[in-house]
Formats: sequence, structure tokens, C-alpha cells
Amino acid sequence: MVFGEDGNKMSKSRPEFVVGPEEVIEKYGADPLRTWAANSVPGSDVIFDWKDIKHGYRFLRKFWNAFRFISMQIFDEEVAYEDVKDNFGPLDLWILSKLNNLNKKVDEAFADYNFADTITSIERFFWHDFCDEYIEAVKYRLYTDVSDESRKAAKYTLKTVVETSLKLMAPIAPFFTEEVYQYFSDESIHTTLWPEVYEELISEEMETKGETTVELIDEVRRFKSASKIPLNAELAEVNVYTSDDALVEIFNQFEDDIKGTLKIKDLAISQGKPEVHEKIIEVEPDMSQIGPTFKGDAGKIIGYLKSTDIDEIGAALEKNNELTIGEIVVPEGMLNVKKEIVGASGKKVDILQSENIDMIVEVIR
Amino acid sequence: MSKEEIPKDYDFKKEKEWGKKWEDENIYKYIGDGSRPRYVIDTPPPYPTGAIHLGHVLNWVYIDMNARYRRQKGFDVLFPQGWDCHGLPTEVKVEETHGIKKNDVSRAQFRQYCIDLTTKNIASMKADMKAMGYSQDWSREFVTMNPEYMKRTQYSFLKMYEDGLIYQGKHPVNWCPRCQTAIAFAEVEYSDNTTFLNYVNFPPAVEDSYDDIVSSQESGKQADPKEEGILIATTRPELMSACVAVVIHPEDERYTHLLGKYVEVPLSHQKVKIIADEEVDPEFGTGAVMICTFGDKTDVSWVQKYDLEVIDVMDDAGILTAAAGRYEGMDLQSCKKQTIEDLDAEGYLLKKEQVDQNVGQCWRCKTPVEILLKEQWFVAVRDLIEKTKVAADEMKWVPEHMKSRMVNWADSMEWDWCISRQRIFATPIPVWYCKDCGKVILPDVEDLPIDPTVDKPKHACECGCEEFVPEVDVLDTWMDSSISPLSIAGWPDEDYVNHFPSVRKDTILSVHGHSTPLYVV
Repeated sequence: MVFGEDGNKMSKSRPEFVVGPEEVIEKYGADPLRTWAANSVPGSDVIFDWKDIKHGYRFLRKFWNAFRFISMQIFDEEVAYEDVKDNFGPLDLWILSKLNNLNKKVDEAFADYNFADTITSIERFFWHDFCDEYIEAVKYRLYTDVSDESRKAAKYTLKTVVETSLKLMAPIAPFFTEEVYQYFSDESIHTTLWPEVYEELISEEMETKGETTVELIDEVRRFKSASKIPLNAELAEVNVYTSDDALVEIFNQFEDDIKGTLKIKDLAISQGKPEVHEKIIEVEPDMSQIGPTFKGDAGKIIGYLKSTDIDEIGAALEKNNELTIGEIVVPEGMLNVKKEIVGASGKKVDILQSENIDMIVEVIR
Repeated sequence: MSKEEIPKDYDFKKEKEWGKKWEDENIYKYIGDGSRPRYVIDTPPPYPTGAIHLGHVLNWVYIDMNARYRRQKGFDVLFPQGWDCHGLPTEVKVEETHGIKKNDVSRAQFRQYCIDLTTKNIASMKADMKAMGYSQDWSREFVTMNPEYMKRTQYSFLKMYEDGLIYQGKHPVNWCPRCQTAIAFAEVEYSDNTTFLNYVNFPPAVEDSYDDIVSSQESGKQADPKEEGILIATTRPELMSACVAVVIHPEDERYTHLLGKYVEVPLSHQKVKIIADEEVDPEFGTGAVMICTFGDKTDVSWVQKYDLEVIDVMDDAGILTAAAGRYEGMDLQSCKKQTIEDLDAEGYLLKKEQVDQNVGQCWRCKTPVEILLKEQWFVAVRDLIEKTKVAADEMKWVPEHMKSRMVNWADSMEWDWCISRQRIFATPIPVWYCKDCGKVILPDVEDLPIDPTVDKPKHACECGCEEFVPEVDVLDTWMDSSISPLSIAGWPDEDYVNHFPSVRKDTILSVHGHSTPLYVV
């Protein structure tokens, strides 16, 4: 039974809450309405909410935009599985393992009439793993001359993920999947068979390693975005520290993808903790205190601060918590002291600490 | 398609074009030659109201996703679409639209109005379904009002009659004594008025006579009207001669000590037992109720439940019969008046009290509806309960709890399925009666479908009589839709076994529930 947005059973007695299928089709097409229906449990009550329709519509548009974006890449050269199967990069293996597991899961869910599992699994995979992570992570392999093998493996992977996802979604969104599939084949998607599972590509190990790498990439990407650094701007140096040997090994294995995705010039992975300390970079007088306290001597203090090397001032303050200028002693509390964090090399660093894995990232812009 | 032409935005308005292309290319066609394993879906035929609603969308999207998925998995899928056309809502709509009542025009004319409306409604719902992208094989569409489908429904009637599963029997129906016709529950209107609640003493039956009580109609005045027995408050004293038991609530301490004892019904003097049932409202009247044949719907269910005797006190015109004793020949109103006078005169009536009442009445003439026992057609579903449970065990149920719902429903079947209806827009019951000997005359299978009100039997009755009375009752619409799994397989053509899973193991039948359950063979 369907309930309206007011929480009551849709009935003619409350016409303002009755939504007809034609109204939804007119505004968003039939596929988002089908997606809404798929995302329910047969035999249970279901609430109709325009939010769900809009969400379904947004997912289809996201899929379309992703497809359109990579279409320039996936149709310009034919790449067969046999040609690339020995050249997959670690993130290719990650997404392909996830894709083949998704295939099995959705197959099983359809067979068991667990429709809600089909659509939610496909959406999570395609939107989050594929669009948000994988596509971002292969751009450097498509646009820069990494190597022929690497580019072909990326193109094969992109195309396979889109084509397979379309077939898994075909029962749910027949119109949309047909529209996209026309760029792959002259045949209707609805006369094709269920995509084959490549057992040899399923690897729990690659999935775990891939998730860990994605964790690192996301951490740095969030930093770039919060610091208003364009995502495609280069980072001079990124040093990753962890106490976990396994993580060191994983990050080394995915080094190319981490560097390529985040545009890192120098990436270092080390075991241990970053050597960082605070460094004084600027000291100014707090005149509201210095004026009344030192009166005529205030000028001397200002002059000293202007003419003395900041490193010298900094060293003195760190040692004594006060500055001795001839006869005058100025406590640190009467100064405005600006500090920054610097790494072992003495350059300014930003420190990112992961909440999910044992990892501290040091970024030098 | 050229890759350079990929539009910037996804244009969902192109959905229509794809729908057209799929239809033109016939991509959802069921082949059925066995070259691929077969997957047959028994799509529930909806009632053609004219528009699909979101509830339909939910159920059909489930079915369609299943059909599409099974095709992808290599099955040859039969996904038909049917229409369960017959029934009261269409008749009512036709009456509204044409400003008539069904008996104002000929049966044929009324039926034609219904067919026209249904045809129009099917067309618009079909368009709605296509817009949703459902992948039915429209060459397999079935319409229960069409002659080829009615033929199957009538054939199923003949087969079941032959197998002893269909019989005629008496069954309570809502009856208008003025129109002298049975009316469906949906045609009963309710109106509020006031009446009198009469408090009547049912004196205890003499205990020594218990052993002699073989029938509650045992007569002869034995009890003293003044002796305190059980006080009954009734608005229908005129039915007392049809009283067969007195019922109280099992926890009503005022009366529990009387359970199993007998009281004597005033005036008609039959002895009736005091029994207990949860349905009694201890707050109403005195909390003790007389069960009559048949004061109301609750009486009917109690009579069935406790296998009580049935006393016919009223004829089709609402005139009291010999069973009403001294009131024989009176109409209900006069009988009521006389009964109250007699109760008072003989000392049974303790008091009268005015109450509000909600009375069922005929939608045509507003006469209060009575419940009468009439000859009806039945399917002996109770004989099939065990078979149904065995079949339920052989099926895979999704969701699983629907299986117990089905089994509980089968177990709760208190009486057989009454399949006759006193309407017009339905499949006719293919039966005539011999005018002389009353024998049931059936048509030949090759002549189906027939309408006994139009067609005539081809042979004379065994008794030599050549005049026949047509059965004017029609079949419940569920008689149409319940054969849909057989019908979509092509039954009764012999080839149907190839598309029906109980016969072929490489064929899966997926039955989607008519309301919410889904179940799969």
C-alpha cells in the first residue's frame, strides 16, 4: 500500500496528497518512479515522497554526466580484455573486483526479489566508488603519457564498469539504460544477457588495499578543497607516516595512483611519526600593554623588533619566554607572537590526521 | 550512434521513443518453443478503472523487473497482461453515466454499455502501462469479458460441475421483499431511524423435558411466562418463531451459570439452548441475544458456526409462512405489531425502550432488506483445503510470511464459495433448467460461450420437454480471474501443458499476488 507525503494512505478522500504516475512521468520520466518502486520491500507499505523521485533522477543524471565525460575516452580505441589483463593498475583491480562482486550481489538480490538491495548497491558503487573515486583517479593516466599499457587498462576498465552497470540496472531503469547503451551497440540492451562474472578479478585483498588508498586520497582531497587549493593544482611534497608496516606496503604499491590523482610532486611513505615543531614566524608589539608599561622606551622595543632577524627573536623567546633589549625586559605576554608548524626540513607543513586509519599526512604546498 | 552527438543533458522525454521502438521490434515476445527454459508470469489482471495508481506502479514494477531480469538470465519469458472486467463498480458507473438503473434497459443493452466503458478504460490504462515501460507481450493480452475468455470460464464451470466440485445449495442472501430480488452487500444502503427495543422474558424450559428436546421446534406450552429465565432485548420480535438459540458473552457473569441450559421461546414455545460467543456485546440491551433465521449477518455466521437449525419463516415477498405458527400469512409489519401485543397480553413483555437503529435497505425502493435462504451455486472449496496446503508447501513464497497468511485463510474457510451473483455484467452461468422436470441442462463444450438468457439448448430434456428456463444468475468475477494461470498457458488447448509448470519441470510459473503477496512456483 502506498502512503502519501502526509503519512496517510493515499486515497481519493485526500486528493491534495494523491499523486498520479502521469504527474511524476511528466516531470522526471518513468525511470525515477521505477527506481522509487524498486527501492521498497514487496508486501510492505511504501511512502511516496518527491524527494525520492528527485534523488532517483539525480542519480540518472550523475550516471549520464559520468558516461558523457568518459565517452571521449572509451570509444576512441577498442581494448580487449586479453590485451590488458596483465597490465591492470592496482586501482583498476580494486574497482573491477568491486564490480564483479556487485554483479553477484545484484544477481542474487533479483533472484530473491530483494529489489531494494539491487538499486542501493548499484547506486553506492557507481556514484561513490566509480564516479567519486575511480574516474578521478584515472584522469592522469588518460591525459598524460604514463604509458600505453596503463592508458589502455584504464580505458578498458572505464568502459567495462559503465557497460556492466548498465546491464545490472536495465530491469530497473529500462529507458535510461537503453538510451546510454545505444552508444555501445546497435542491439537493444533488453535483448542482451546478464553480464558474465570474472571470478579471477575478484580479490578481497585488492578491495581492502583499494579502500585504504581511497581513504588517503580522500583525506588529501578534502584538505585541498578546505584550503581552497584547486584539485588539479600541484602539491610540492606529501609525506605519509604510519606505524603500520602493511599500510606502508599498500601506499607504495598504489604510489603512482596517489601521486597521479592528487598531483603530488614528491611523495614519501615512511614508518613512524612526522618530526614537526612550532616555529615563530612573526613578533609584533602589543601596544596596548607596551605603551602604558614602558612609556618612553616603547620606541626602542619597536625598533628592535623591526631590525632584528626573526629567527634570533624566536630563539630568545623560546628559550626565556621574554626579550631582553639592553636594560628592558619584555615578557612574551606583551607581544603578539605568530607561529607555524614546520617539518623536519624546516618548511611550513599542514598536518592531516585520519580518523579511520593509522595515518598522519604531512603536506607541503 | 555517433559518439560526438552525446547531448549535454539526459533527456527523459525520449522515453516514449524507446517504448515505441521496443514495441515495433517485438522484443518482449514469448517464443514458447522450448529452445530456452520457459518462465511464465501469471500477471494479476487489474480491474479496468481507467487509470493506474501508485499502488499498481509498485506491483507492476516488481513484476516487470522480474520479467526483465529473467530474460537477461536466458529465460523465454511469458509476461501477459489481462483485464478483470466484470463487476459491480462498472455497472454502477454505467448507471451514473447514462442516468439509468440496470433494469431500465435490456440485459443486452446494459451489457453493451458496460463493454463500451470497459474497452475505453482498458485503452487508457494500457497507455499508462506502456508509459511506465512494462515489458508485457501484448500479443498475449486477455480480456475476461471477451467471448474467447468467457468460453474458458464457462468451460471451467462445466469441468468442475462434472467433477462434483460445483453444486447448488441454499445460502443466505440480502433480499428485497418488495423487488423480490437478491441484492449484493454493496447494493445495500443504510439509513438511521428509531425503533423499539422490547425486553422479553424467555422462561426456563422445564428441566425434566430436556431429554425430549430433539428439535428446538418441539412445541407445547410448558413454561410459566412469569418465571424468570433470561431477558432478551430485541428490535425484531416478529422473528421469534425462527429463534434457534440464545447467546451470551462467555465472560458475562450474569449469565454464565445458565450456559447449556434451555429456555422456552415465548409464543412459539420452542426450547432453545443458551450458548456463549465472543461476538456478543455485553453492553447492548441485556447482553443476551436470540439467534434467528436470519435477523442479520451475525445470525448467519452463528448459525453456520454452531451448525444451528434453519427455520424459514418468511417467503420471497416477506409474508410469514406456516413455520410462524399463528402469524402465518401476515406481512412483517403486521406480524411485528401483533407479536408485541401478544407478548404484552401473555405477560412476557417487561418493558419497551426507544432506540436509534441503522437499517439496511434496498438501494432502489428503500424497503428494509431481509436475509433469506436462496438457491445459489457453490464451488466446494472446503474439499480443496488440504490440496491447497500441499500445493503451498511445494511453492517458494516471497515474502515467506505470505504462505502462512494463505494457509490460515484456507483453514478459516467456514463455508463454500458462493459463485452466483444476481447481476448482469459478468460471465453467464451456462445452465438451463427443464421447465417440466427442473433438471439442470448443460451446453455442449463446443458451443461455449453461451448466454442462457439468449441461447437455447440443442437437445430436448431427457423427460422429453423442449422448454427451458434460463439461469439468470451470473458468475462471481473471481471465477474469471482464478483460471488466469491456466488461461495464459492456452488451456484448454492441449498444448497448454507446455506452458504450465505442474506438468513441465523446465518451466517456472511466477504468480504475483492480487493484493500484496507474491508467490512463486
